[in-house]
Amino acid sequence: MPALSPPSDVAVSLIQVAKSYGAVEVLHPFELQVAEGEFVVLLGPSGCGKSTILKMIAGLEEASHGEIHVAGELVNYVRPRDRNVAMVFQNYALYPHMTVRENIAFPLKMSRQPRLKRAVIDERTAEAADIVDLTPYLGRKPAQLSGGQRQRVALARAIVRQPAVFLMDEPLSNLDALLRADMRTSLLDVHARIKKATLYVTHDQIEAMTMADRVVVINAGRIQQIGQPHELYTAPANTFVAQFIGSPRMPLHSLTVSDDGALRIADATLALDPAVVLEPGATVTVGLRPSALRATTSGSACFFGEARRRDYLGSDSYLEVDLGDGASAMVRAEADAEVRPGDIVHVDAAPGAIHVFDEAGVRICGASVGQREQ
Amino acid sequence: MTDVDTGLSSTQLTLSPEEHRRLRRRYRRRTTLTAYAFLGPNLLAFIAFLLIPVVWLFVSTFRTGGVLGPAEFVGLDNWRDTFADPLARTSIRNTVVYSAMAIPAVFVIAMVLALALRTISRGSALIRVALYLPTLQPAVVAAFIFVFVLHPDFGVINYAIRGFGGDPINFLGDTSLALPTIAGIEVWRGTGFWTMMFLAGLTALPSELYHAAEIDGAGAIRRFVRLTLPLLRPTFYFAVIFATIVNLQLFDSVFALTDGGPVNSTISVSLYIYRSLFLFGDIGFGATLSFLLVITVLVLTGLQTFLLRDRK
Amino acid sequence: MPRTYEDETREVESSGSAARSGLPASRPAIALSYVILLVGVAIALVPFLYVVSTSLKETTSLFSYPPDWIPSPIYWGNFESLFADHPFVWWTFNTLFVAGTVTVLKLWFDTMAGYALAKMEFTGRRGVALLFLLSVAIPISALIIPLFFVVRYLGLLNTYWALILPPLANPLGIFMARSFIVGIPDNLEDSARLDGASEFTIYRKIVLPLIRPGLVVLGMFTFMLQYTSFIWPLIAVQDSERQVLAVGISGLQSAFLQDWGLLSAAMLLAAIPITLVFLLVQKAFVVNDLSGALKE
Repeated sequence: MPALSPPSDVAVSLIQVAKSYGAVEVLHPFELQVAEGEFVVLLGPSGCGKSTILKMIAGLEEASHGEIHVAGELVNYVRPRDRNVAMVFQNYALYPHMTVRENIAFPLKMSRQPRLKRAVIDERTAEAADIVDLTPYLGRKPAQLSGGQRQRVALARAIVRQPAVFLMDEPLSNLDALLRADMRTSLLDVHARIKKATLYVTHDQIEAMTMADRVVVINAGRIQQIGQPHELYTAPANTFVAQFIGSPRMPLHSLTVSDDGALRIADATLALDPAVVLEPGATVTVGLRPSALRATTSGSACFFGEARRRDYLGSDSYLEVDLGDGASAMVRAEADAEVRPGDIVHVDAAPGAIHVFDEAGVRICGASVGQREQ
Repeated sequence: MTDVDTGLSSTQLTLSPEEHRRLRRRYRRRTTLTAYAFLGPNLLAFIAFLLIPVVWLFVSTFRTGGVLGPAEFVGLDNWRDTFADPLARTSIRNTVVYSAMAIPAVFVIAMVLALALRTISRGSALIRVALYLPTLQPAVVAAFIFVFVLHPDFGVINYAIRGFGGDPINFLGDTSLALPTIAGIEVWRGTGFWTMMFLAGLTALPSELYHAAEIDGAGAIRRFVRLTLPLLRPTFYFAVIFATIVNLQLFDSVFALTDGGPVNSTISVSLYIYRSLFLFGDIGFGATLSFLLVITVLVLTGLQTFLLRDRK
Repeated sequence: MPRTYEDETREVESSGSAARSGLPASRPAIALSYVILLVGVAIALVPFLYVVSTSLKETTSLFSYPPDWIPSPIYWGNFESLFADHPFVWWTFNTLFVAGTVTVLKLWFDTMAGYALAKMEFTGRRGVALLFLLSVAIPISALIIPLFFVVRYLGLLNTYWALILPPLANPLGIFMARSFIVGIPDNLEDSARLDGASEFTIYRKIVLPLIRPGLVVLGMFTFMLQYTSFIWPLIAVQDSERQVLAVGISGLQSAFLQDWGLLSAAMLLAAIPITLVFLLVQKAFVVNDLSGALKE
C-alpha cells in the first residue's frame, strides 16, 4: 500500500510532519495530502497548531520532523521565495507604503526566472485586480481601503503569481459578519475559476463547512478527523469533533451499559448497529445532535421531557429539554412554537441523531431510538 | 487516540535521516551567512575600533613604554602606580562628583519642562526648538558661551550681583565653585535633549489609564508619582544608562575652560587620560586609567540595569 | 516602537500633545506651564544673545562698563578676520562632510544590523546582540589612546578616514534601529519572502520605507553626536585645515588669547548649519520614544 513518492496529482503532501519548540510538542506527527484543485480547510480552536502547519508549508517555520512536498518536490530545505506557494494573512500584510497596484505587482517584480517584462507585469496585475473587483482602487494606498477591500488586495497579490498552492491563514476573521459571508462566496468563486490547491485555516466551523472539499479538524496539536463536511457532521470521529462542529453544541451524556447490553436514555432504549456489542457495565458517552431532534405534538415521539429554556433564532428555535436521569437535549422547534419553560415537549429523533462514543471519546457507532418502555 | 485516515494514500519519507540532517545543516548555514552579511559592516567596525582597542588597553595595563622605546612587561606596576597616584584619585572623585551633580539636576529640570510641554499645545513646536538649541552646540561652544555669562568683569550674572551690591564671583577661578559651574554648563546644554526624551516617553503613555485614574479621583501629583513615574521606567532606564556613559567621559568643557584647574579641582578622568597620552612617554599609566574607566562604566551600567530593568 | 509602522498604516489623528496621553489640563496648570517654559526658553536663549552681541563688537570695547548690549556701531571685523586669518570655511566643510558621511553610513549599517537582529533566525544571534549591548557601555574617551595607535598603525592619522571610521563602531544606533524594525509586523516580511523577495530586497523595499520616521530621529541623533564630537578629532587630526569646528573654535581661544569677538563670531556661524538641519527634521524628531532602544 505505501507508495514511495506521492502521486503526481497531489499538490501538497505532508509526511510524518511534526513541530516542537524544545520539549514542547505543538504538532504531533501527522500525514496530510491535498489534491490538485482541492479546497482543504484546517479547522480547530485557537492555539491548536493549525497556523503552524501553513507556516511550515510556506517555509516560514521549519518542520521539526518529516517531509513537505509541494507539487511533487521536497521543499523542507527550499527558501520560502522558491517554494511556489502564496499566502494570505489574517491581517492582510499589505505593504502600507505601496499603492494597491504596487502591492499586487510586487510578486511579479520580484520574479527572476523568468524576469518579467513591464507590459506582462501590468497586464497580469490588471487581470488579478479584475478578478477581485479592485480595478477602480489601483491607485489607492491600503490605508484608504475598507477591510474587505484590503482582503481582496491580499488575495489578488496571491493570485497574481500563479502559485502551485494557496495558503490562507484566517483570511476573513478580521471582517464583520456580513462582509465575511460575502467574501466567502467571492473566495469560492475565485477558487472555482483558478482551481488551485488551497489550504485554508479557520476556527469558524461555518466557513469550514460551507467552503471545504475536505476539512481537517485539529485539536491540541493532533489531527482529530479528516473528511468531507458531511462526514464530520454525520459521523464525527470523536467527541471533540462532535461538539466542535454543529450549532448549537451537541450535549454529551455518560451512560452505563445495562446488564442486557442495552443503552437507555431515561426510558428510551437506543437501537445500535447490530454488529456492535457493548460490554455490560461499561461506560459510554452519548451525544444527541440538536438539529436532528424535533419537537412534536404527536404521542409517538422518541423522548419527552420538560422544556427548560428556549433560544429563538428567527428561522427556528431551540429548546433545552430535560429528558430525566440528568440527561438533557437541545431540540429544534418551529420558530413560532408556543412553548414555555415547564411545558412537556415530545421529541422526535431522525436517523443519525444519536452518536455513541467509548470511554476515550472515540466514536463507536450511530444509534436511533428503539422501543420506548411504557 | 487512533490513527486518522489521511485521505489519499499513506506514504513514507523519501530521504534518509542522514540526508535530512545534511540538508538541514546546509539550509541553516545559508540563513546564518545571510544574517552575518547584514551584520558585517558593524562587526568589522566593532572589531577594529572597539574590540582591538579594549584588548590592547588590557594588555597595556601590564606593560610600560611602547611610544618611544620597546614595550616591557611590568606586571601589576601600572595598577599600583595608578591607585597610588593622588591626581588619578582626584580625577576619579571629580568625575563622580560632577556626574552626581549634573545627572539628577538635568533630569529634574527636563522632567518639569517635559510635563509643562505636554500640558500646553499652542506654541509648543517653537518652544521645543528654543529649548533644543543649547543641545545642538558642541560642549566647547557651550563652555565658551558661559565664559561671557559668568565672567567676573563683564558677565551678566556678576553684573546683576553688582547691581544688588554684592561682590563679583569668579565662578571658574574658585576651587570650590569651578566643578559645580561646569556641571551647570552641562546641565544647560543637556536639558533640551532630556526634555525631548522624557516628552517622547510621556507622549507614548496610554491615555486610558489616566482617564481611569482621574475617575478614581487621583490628584495630579498622585497621578505623577503612582502612574507616570512607574510607567516611564523604560525611558528612565535608557536615560540613566546613557547619561552615565556620557557624563563619566567629561572632557570638552573642562579642556576648554579650566584645563583641570584651579589647583586640579576640575581635572576629570578623561582629561587625565588625554594628558597622559602626550605628557608621559609611557602609555602604561594612561592605559590603566582608561581601563579603569571602562570597568567603572561597565559596572555602573550593569548595576543600573539590574536595578531599573523591567522584571518580567 | 510600533509607532513608525502605524503612522504609515493608519490615518494619523491630528491631536494636540495634551490630548495624546494626558488629560485636558486645567487653566491654572496651563498658565503655570507657560511660565515654566518661558523661563526655560529665556535661560536657553539669553546666552546666545551675548554671543550675537559680542560678535558684532570690537574686543576692546567689550570691557566698557556698564556693558553695551546693542553694539554701535556694528563691527564686522570679527567675521572678516575669521575668514581671512583662519580656515573657518574648511572647518565647516570638514564638520559637515564628516558628520554627514558618518550619519549616512551609520544609518545604512545600523539598519542592516538591526534588521538581522530583529527579524532573522541565525546561530549566534543572542551572542552578537549581547556583544553589541556590552559595547554600548564602553566610553569612547577611554579608548582614545589605543584608537590613536590603531589609526596610526593604519596610516590614517590626520585624514578624514581617521574621523569617519572609529565612530562607526558606536553600537547604540543598532539598538535604536532594531527597536524600530521590531515594530513592523512579522507577517509583512513573511509575505514579501513568499512573494519572492530576497532578504536584502525586503530590507530595502519594505523595512527601510516603513521605518523612515525612526530613521530621521536616528539620523539627527547621529549627526548631532558627530557635529559636537571633540576629544577624538582633537587627537586624530593635527593640521588646522583638516580640523572640525569644535576643535578649531577651541583653538581660537587658546592661541589668540582672549579674542572674544572673534570667538563669538565663530560660535555664531558654527551654530547655523546644525540649527538648520534640526529645523528641517524637528517635526519628526519630537514624537519618538527611544526608550525601547536598549531592550534585549
